[in-house]
Amino acid sequence: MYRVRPAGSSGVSYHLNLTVPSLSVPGYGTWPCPPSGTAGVTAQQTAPPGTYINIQATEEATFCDVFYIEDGYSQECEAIGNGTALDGTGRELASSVFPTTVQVEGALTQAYWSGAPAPSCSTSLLGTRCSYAVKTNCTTATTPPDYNVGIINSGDYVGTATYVSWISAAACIRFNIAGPWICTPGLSFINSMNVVMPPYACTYNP
Amino acid sequence: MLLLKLVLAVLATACILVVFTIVWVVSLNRGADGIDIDLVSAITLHSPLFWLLAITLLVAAGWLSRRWVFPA
Repeated sequence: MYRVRPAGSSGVSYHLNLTVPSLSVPGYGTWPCPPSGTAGVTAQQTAPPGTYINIQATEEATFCDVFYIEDGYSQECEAIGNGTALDGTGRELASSVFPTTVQVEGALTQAYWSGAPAPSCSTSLLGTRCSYAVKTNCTTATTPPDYNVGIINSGDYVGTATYVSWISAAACIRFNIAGPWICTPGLSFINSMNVVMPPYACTYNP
Repeated sequence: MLLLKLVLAVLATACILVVFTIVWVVSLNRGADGIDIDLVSAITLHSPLFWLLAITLLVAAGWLSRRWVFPA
């Protein structure tokens, strides 16, 4: 998506081309727009000065593996685009580079509470809920995990357990290949109580 | 057409209940990275407040369906 606000001459037109597999999206203010994408997809829009225009070109990408599980968990799709908008006289109105890589994965992490610190508990009509400050328990090769668990809400195990281990599952997303993962609150289940668990091969895609 | 409307109404109601349950669980566990599945069942299946709101949603959905699926 590329947004420009034309200033100056009226009747300014722009177009965006999308090329696969590199998915580059060059935008020019020239008109007419010769198709240059693999499938020749272009988009153009004309608007009077003072209005915002929103130009979008979409092309089916052969190598865009949104629904392809590449490494067991990750799905990824990459689109790299840049655009330049010129007015009718060739002046540059705006330019932009917007590489976007989206990766989605389901992440598993093992975490444990070893009896301290004491959890923060509250009792209401919904029963007793306790917040445990936990530590992740992943193998060296999978540390730090993509889904970093710091607090787990669970039942009240104070007095009945001195060690509780959970496996937590969450959906994670990130917008750059090397960026941090952003995860939803995960669903956890207890996989051990009072028996220390060995490190787990957590989901790890740095 | 009547069957299609009925199916749509049931599916929409189910979706609303699922979304409501997710919002309910997440809002009650703000700040937590993980939520114990036993706790999820405790604050949903065993919660009178949850069922009160869920039944209110079901009644509202039934009333809307009555007017849309089977209009007088």
